[in-house]
Amino acid sequence: MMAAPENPSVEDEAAEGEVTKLNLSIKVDSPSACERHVTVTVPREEIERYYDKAYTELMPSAAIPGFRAGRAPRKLVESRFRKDVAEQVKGSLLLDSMTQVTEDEKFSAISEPDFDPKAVTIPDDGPMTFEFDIEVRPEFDLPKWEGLKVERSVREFAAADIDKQLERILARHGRLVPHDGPASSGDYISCNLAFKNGAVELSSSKEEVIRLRPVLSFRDGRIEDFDKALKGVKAGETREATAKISADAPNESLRNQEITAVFEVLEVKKLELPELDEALLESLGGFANEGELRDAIKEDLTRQLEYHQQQEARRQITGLLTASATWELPPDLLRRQSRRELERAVLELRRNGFSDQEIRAYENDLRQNSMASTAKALKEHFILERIAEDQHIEAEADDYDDEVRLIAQQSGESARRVRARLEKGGLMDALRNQIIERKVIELVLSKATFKDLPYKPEGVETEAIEQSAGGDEPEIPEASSAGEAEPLKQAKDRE
Amino acid sequence: MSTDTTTTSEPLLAPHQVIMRPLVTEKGMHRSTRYNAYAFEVSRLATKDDVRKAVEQLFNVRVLRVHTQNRKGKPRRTRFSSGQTRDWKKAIVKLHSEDRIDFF
Repeated sequence: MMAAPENPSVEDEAAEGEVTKLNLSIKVDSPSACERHVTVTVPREEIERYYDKAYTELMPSAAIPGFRAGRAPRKLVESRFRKDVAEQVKGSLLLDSMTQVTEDEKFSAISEPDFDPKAVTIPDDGPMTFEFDIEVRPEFDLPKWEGLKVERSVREFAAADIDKQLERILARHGRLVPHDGPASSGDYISCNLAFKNGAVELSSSKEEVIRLRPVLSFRDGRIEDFDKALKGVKAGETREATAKISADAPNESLRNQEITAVFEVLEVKKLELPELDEALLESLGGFANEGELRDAIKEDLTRQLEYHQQQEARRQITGLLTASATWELPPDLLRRQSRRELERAVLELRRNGFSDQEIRAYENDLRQNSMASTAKALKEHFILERIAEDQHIEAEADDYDDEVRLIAQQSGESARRVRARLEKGGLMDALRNQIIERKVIELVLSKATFKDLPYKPEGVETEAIEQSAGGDEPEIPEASSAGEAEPLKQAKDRE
Repeated sequence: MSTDTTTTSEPLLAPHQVIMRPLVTEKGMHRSTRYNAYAFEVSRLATKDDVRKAVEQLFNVRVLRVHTQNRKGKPRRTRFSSGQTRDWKKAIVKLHSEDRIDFF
């Protein structure tokens, strides 16, 4: 990662025929399998050589009052430009020695080195010493990846599947109509929600709009059989359900505990599907007729199947590959990477055409087992990256374009905006990893033997709300509005 | 007679008041390497003798010869008002062949 931008300069120097290896003394400590503490000492002769080179370069253009450009004596130039040149020499010394360190030590860095160039100064005499920490990919033997046996789900999407999906899309544009009778599965309830541990209220929210589905997930836990627990509820009634807090919840005292969720139902609503007329077709994405919309849905479904296949394959492949990966990852690294992993997962889901609602459900799920899933994802990533390196797989500019275009298509934004957003959010790196990993998986799959199985699309079973039962995590901004209402609004705003 | 007064009476200026700054220029470098002669900006009141003494004292060298020049200030103009840069005195000091001054 680090060596990439520095290669050209090395080549330049080689072309000039004056590349001399630095005579460095490098000391590497490894506190754990993934961490390296590097201490580099640059001897005085090397520093002087760099100074000499810098002054030689500066001489022909050095402008000093009283002298024509380039005519000033070297000694004068040296005393006049000492400070500037020192800065420059420090920069190139650090750059070159870092390059050499990474080349010599064969680090496969997974993070930028924890290193502050400003803290390093060139001493007036004696050698220059600097140190930094870097996280590296652990050493491991590459498992055999050719000719793996993989099960693959296959399905041709029929009209019925498309009907179902169409209904789901229409539901997004549907209207919630108040309903007087008891609620049944699939209905919406507007309720005041409170989480209680015994008599202590942990958190609450007002007027949440929640759909009755088999599972209700929130940031740090979930309620199973949610639709059964609230079946037949009427406006004005209060029901309780048992929520289970996940093992990675931010509130440590509540981890793995069961708490009570109290739903004070204000209103029961049913979803009324809109008529599929021209205006709606237009707003859905400028479709001329229903046929076109159906085609688009089919494409979407196919992509989701592809995603599913890919995930399935990935799961199987990585399962097989990580079987031998028993090395430990430092918890510090996991904590730092878990956010990245989350970003990556969301990016991938978005690309594959999942709705905001589904993404949110998955995000909640991930947050709940962040550590375990991050550890797994990281191991996968290491192995895949390693294969990519072995096979010289690189992310090309075209791949980025394709990827951005796909995300843009999914979110209804322009490609330029998506790209800008990704770059601003520092997600291009995540994108690169994603591209490489996909390419590797494709490669592994192309060498794998398949066994076809019929694919059964999962019904959407999880309803997600953006609330933490055990109090909010400080670093995550509070949910801006009630669960289901938000994507509805956003979807409309966008169109 | 004048030499008598300067040699016997207290000098008017202290050495650091006589030598105002060395003139480090391309021409000066040339002179110093080829003729072992160094140029200074000196006080307009200083005589050749003052310069000789000041240089000998400040740089701990032996002075062979001193040449001085009175340099007239250059006319300067800003918009409608005209002005003049100050007049100054330059001294070129030739040193004994074994002595050197290092300006930087």
